[in-house]
Amino acid sequence: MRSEPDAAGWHFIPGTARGATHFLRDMPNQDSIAHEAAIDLPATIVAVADGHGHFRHARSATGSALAVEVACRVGAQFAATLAATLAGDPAATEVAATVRDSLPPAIVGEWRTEVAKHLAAHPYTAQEQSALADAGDEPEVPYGSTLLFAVIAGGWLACAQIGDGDLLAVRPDGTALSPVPGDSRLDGQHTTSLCQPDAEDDFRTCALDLRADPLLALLLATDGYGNAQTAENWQPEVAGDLAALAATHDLDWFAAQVPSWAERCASADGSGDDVTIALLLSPDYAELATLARRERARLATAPPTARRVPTVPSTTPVPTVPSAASAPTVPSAAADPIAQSGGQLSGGPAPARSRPRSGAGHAGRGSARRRWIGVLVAVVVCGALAAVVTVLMTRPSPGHPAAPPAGRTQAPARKAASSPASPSQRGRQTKTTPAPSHGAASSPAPATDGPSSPAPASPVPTTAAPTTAAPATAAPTGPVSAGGAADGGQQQNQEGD
Amino acid sequence: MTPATPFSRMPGGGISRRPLHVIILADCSGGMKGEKIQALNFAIADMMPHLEAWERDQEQAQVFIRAIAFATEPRWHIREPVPVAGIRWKPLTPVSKGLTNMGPAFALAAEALAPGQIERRALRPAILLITDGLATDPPGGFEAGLATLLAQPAGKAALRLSIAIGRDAQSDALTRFIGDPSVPVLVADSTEDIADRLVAASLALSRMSETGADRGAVMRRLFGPAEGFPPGVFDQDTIV
Repeated sequence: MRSEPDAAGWHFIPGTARGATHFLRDMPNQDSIAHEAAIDLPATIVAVADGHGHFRHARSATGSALAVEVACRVGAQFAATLAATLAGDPAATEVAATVRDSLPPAIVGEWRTEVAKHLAAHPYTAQEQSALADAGDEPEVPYGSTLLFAVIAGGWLACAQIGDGDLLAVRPDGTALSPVPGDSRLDGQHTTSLCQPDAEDDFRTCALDLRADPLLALLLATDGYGNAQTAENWQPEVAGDLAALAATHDLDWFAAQVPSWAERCASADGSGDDVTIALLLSPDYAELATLARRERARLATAPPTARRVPTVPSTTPVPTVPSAASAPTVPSAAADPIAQSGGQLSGGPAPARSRPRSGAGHAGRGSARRRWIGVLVAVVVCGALAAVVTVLMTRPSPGHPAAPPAGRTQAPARKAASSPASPSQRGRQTKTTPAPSHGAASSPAPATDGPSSPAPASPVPTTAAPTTAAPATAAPTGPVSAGGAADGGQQQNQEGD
Repeated sequence: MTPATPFSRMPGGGISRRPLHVIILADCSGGMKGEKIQALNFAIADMMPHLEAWERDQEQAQVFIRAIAFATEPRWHIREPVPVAGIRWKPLTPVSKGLTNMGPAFALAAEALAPGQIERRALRPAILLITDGLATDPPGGFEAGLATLLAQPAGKAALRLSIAIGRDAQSDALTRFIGDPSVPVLVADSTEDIADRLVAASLALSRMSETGADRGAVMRRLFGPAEGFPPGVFDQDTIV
């Protein structure tokens, strides 16, 4: 599924799911959602509504459907009003007053009109009439619904909400903003509603200048979403995660995920209530999120550098051990950014670069052992050779001149069994290493990969993992290893930079 | 229902069912000594599997238990909410010569239900009062404690049930605690009845909790004719 931008360039991604308890009791999904895309003005208009579940509100599914329909219609008219208002370069308070004075009356008035039309076409049954009379309810009460509504036009966001549910604005840096004020009457047991006589007064509205305070995303959700969240104050974490996900995922991913978020929240593992989510992503959400991510990474430069400095002498076996130990967490972190660093998703996934690191670590340990064995063997052989040469030279026997050379050639041959392989492997290594390394360096946000994942420290693809032992072997100690390390280290630091 | 897409990644710190807090106010006055307290302990322990089974069956709440033992003074028997699944009931012990002061127990429950003490997303809590005698609070003590409880939004909204052990224990005070004429005081005529009444209370808690259920009909079925709509735990979705 592809999410196309609307007239204002914002991307609308919906998700709705019937609650588990509604399945259990054969109740419909009483939520509704709508997005107005077919208007001439460059405006974004979106609405979600939650029909009340109580049996007093037997027609609430219809009520919520009428609510979002009306909201979109009113929103289109309001976008024109807003454009006219903005032409005069008004103060923020003036825009807020326009929102407050225009939207609620128009929505409530039109919703009541639509309810009356529906009622005329579908009169109450005798049973419904009796229930209405028993409860002393007005005719609109069975249609009771909440409404969350947003209009983005002319660089402004206008919001209006009646009843429970959540409006969550997400800034590019992942901070959360609740555009509309709270309502202490929404105690989880009761809600304000379009069906109440004083509904206009119960609307909460806001106007936000997006030119001064740009948004990355806007989330509108019925209360089944928030009630499923385990955390008491879930908004900051959700906002942070959304920003991080926006930096690393495209619209297709969101289009596939948002419906599943609604399903999970509506399931018996969540609130069990109907859940509807409208996610709006700004026209340039990916750039905003990536820039913000880079900025976060720039401000937190210490951790990646600190993590990589110890890896510079990684040509010696010791530093590679911790990286090998930590390697198992890297693929999962790359697969699920939310799992990283408590929801800070600044790191881009780099599975191909992360896995070789564990291989390099293991290979490094083995190669080091081989290297030291090789040195010991060489010392022993050289010692033996020297002894033989000494013995031969002290024996004046011109009849046996070939003995010493034979001994000399054997010793290098044994060394060649271990050592010459290293240069050749190093040769392969130096060919294979730069390619993935440069590839990594050309990734969109190389500097920010560091904080979240130690993976980039190893620039070698998985298939080349065994060969990563070679540089370690080829750089036994001191200056030699420093040269080898310098190469690798420079690559690592370039990535880090 | 349609299963959620596997491996989907959600923003936020995870999801879970909404908490349903059940607070048991158990009379541990001197009069409960002997057979009564034994029967009560047995009955409460026996009630837990019923609540646990209901928790499994319904698809909205996770049930947490707390308990206050009250006599002259109240004290927490289970202070922190314990999931009903797998709970092991620690027996109550009566307080020698302890009185039946209910007001302070209500006030203690009110503290636990204060804003910030329970989750905002928690369902309407349930309070179950079990007593074998009339309240012995000093003048005004019962009313003051009840007022404290009802002053908390969650206390006022709570589904409040009461079990009287013995006909003599049934009183106007218990009716006032319940606060709903459609919900009767459950009377256990004998210690053998306590378990039955607790099961009835757990049934009431569960049946009355069903979203969209006609709670008047539930009450009539369980307890006989009644009027009005008793509050249900899940009945959160109507207008203010």
